[in-house]
Amino acid sequence: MEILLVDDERLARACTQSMLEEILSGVEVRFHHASTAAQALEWLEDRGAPDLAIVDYKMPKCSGLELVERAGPCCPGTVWVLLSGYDLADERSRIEAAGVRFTLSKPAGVEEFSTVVSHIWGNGGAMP
Amino acid sequence: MQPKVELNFRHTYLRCFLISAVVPILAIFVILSLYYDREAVSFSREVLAGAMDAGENALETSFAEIEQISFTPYLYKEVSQTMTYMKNGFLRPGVEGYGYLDLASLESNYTMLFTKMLHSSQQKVQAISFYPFGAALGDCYAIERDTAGLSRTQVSAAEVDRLYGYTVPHGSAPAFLSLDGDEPHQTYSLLRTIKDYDSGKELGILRIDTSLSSLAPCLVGMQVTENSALMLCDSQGQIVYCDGTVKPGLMEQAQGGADEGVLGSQRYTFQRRSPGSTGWTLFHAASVSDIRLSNAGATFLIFAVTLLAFLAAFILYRAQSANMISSIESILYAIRQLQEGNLSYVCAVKDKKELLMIADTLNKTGKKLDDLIRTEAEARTSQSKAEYLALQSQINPHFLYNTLNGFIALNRLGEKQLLETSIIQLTKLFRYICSNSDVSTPAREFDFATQYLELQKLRFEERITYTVVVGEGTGDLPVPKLVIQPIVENCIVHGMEEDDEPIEIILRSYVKKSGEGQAALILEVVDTGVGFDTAKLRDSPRVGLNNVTQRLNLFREGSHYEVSSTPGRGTTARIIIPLESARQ
Repeated sequence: MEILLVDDERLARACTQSMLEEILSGVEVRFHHASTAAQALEWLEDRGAPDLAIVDYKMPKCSGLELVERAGPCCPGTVWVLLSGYDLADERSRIEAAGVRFTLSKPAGVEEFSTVVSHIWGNGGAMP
Repeated sequence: MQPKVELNFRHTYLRCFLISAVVPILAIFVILSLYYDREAVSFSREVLAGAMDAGENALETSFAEIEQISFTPYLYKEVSQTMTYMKNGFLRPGVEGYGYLDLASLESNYTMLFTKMLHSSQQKVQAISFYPFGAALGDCYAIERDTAGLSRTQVSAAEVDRLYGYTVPHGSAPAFLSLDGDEPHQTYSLLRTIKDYDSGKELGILRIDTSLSSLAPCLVGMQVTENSALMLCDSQGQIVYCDGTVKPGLMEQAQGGADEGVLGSQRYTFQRRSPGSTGWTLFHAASVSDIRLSNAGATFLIFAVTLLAFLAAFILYRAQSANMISSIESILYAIRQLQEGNLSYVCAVKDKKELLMIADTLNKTGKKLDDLIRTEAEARTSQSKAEYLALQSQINPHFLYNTLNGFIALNRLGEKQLLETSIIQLTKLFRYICSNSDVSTPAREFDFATQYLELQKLRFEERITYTVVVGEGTGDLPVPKLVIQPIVENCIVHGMEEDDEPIEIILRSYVKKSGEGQAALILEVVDTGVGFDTAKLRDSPRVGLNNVTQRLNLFREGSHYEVSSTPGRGTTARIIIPLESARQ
């Protein structure tokens, strides 16, 4: 399983990774980090679509939502999750249009991530 | 001198005066004029009546004088005798004298007597004639003014008859009439039938012709103008004497017996007198407008006096009311000032009683209001101060949120040491904020900022670097608390969150001396962030930094905050606090 973490804060990425590792224990997972949207796009070009992408909304220069809008089309299988500390009520339609499956508000804990994971691959869904 | 604010009051007062003064004065003027007019008319009439009476008396005297002459035959027997002989025809020329009668001397006496009478009379007697009856009918013996002696002429019997006819209605009394046919008449005549004293037989007709001009002095007292006329008519109704323009129709009305007449647009009053029992009538017609016109002068005088009275009243009014009006206007102006919020205006009033009381009350009220408002404002300011102080003890929740998120991460990642250090740093932050005093020092402020920056580094790691330089001797100078951290926070919010380039923050404190021996403490925050357009600074209200500015001003007068920036290069923010000269 390939998971892409996009956040300008390293600590945040590390935290998310730790939580996901706990949830997905027993599953072979490979985590990839990008600290900017540009970096993320570069990686996507190189390595293709990940299974899961956790993207921070508020990033300098290019927001997480923009990243999803741009990268979404070429990564049809990717489950996009948007993480944000802000109320994104205004962007609801844009978020849906971009193809974001889940929007989590920070701080997102193990419970929230579990929910996401089980929604996608639980209930009989085969884990890649 | 204040501008006129309330013109209405002044005008109302003036209107009051005008109505109180003008109306009565005008009324008096009208009443006086009318009264005087009426009185003048009746007075004129009285004066005229007096003159008419005088004229009548004078005429009567004149007539009486002539009449007196006609008594001569009764007073002088020889005259009567002479007349008898005239009647008998003895004095006819060519008649032989009767020896025993001295006809010549009789005649001479007769002539002399009448001549003397003729010339000595006050009236201008022209001729004294006698027309005997009987055999000598047709003779006329006349003594004439311009001729000496007795003139004998002949007249027709019809003429004598005619003359006789005039005397008949009068019996033995004389008849006065104008017999000459001239126009205008020159003479008037007395006719009298003379009877013999003893026998009672009629001897003949005595005629005395007198010049009319001798009556003129009698009528001198009448005023005759363009619109009035005087007329003397004899017993036959002929106009014997006339002065002034006799307008046709008017005299007919007068002769008709009326007291007033109208001709055209003029009204006339008539007066008439009948001197003696002559049957003559003196008429006077006076135009009413004439009287009025002569009153015009008096009416004008009354008007002029009225006007003067009014002017005097007005001047007195102005003098009396000037003080009061200006006092009231002053008060009204002060009230207007109060209404407009100018509470410091004090009105001065040139009065000693009620108005002064009003003005004083007004001024006191104004002052009280002013004080009250000031006190209110001060109370509110202290409240604001308290609020500001309360504000400063809040920390930006956003920062707290981010920091706590970081703590979750640290915990999860097992970074126990870093977590503990960070929690302690956060605690210190709160302790500093919660401390009672609102005065701090640059050293402590920079310490606080450092702790803040360390916590921010959890998020931004190597993207933030900072340096702190505390200038010599500045570390312990008094500065307001919590003025540096907000600026540093600003740098991060605008520098970090919009760009991923690393920034360096330098905190510095130093003393700057200005030319006039003044010195100021400068607290400087320099960053190498993205900078901003200082022109746009005014548009966006930055509450946190507004707080700083207010608190700086409250701390020490003259303290302020300034910022300069170069987009793309960085920003420099400075807090300038003037130092008291004594501490130098």
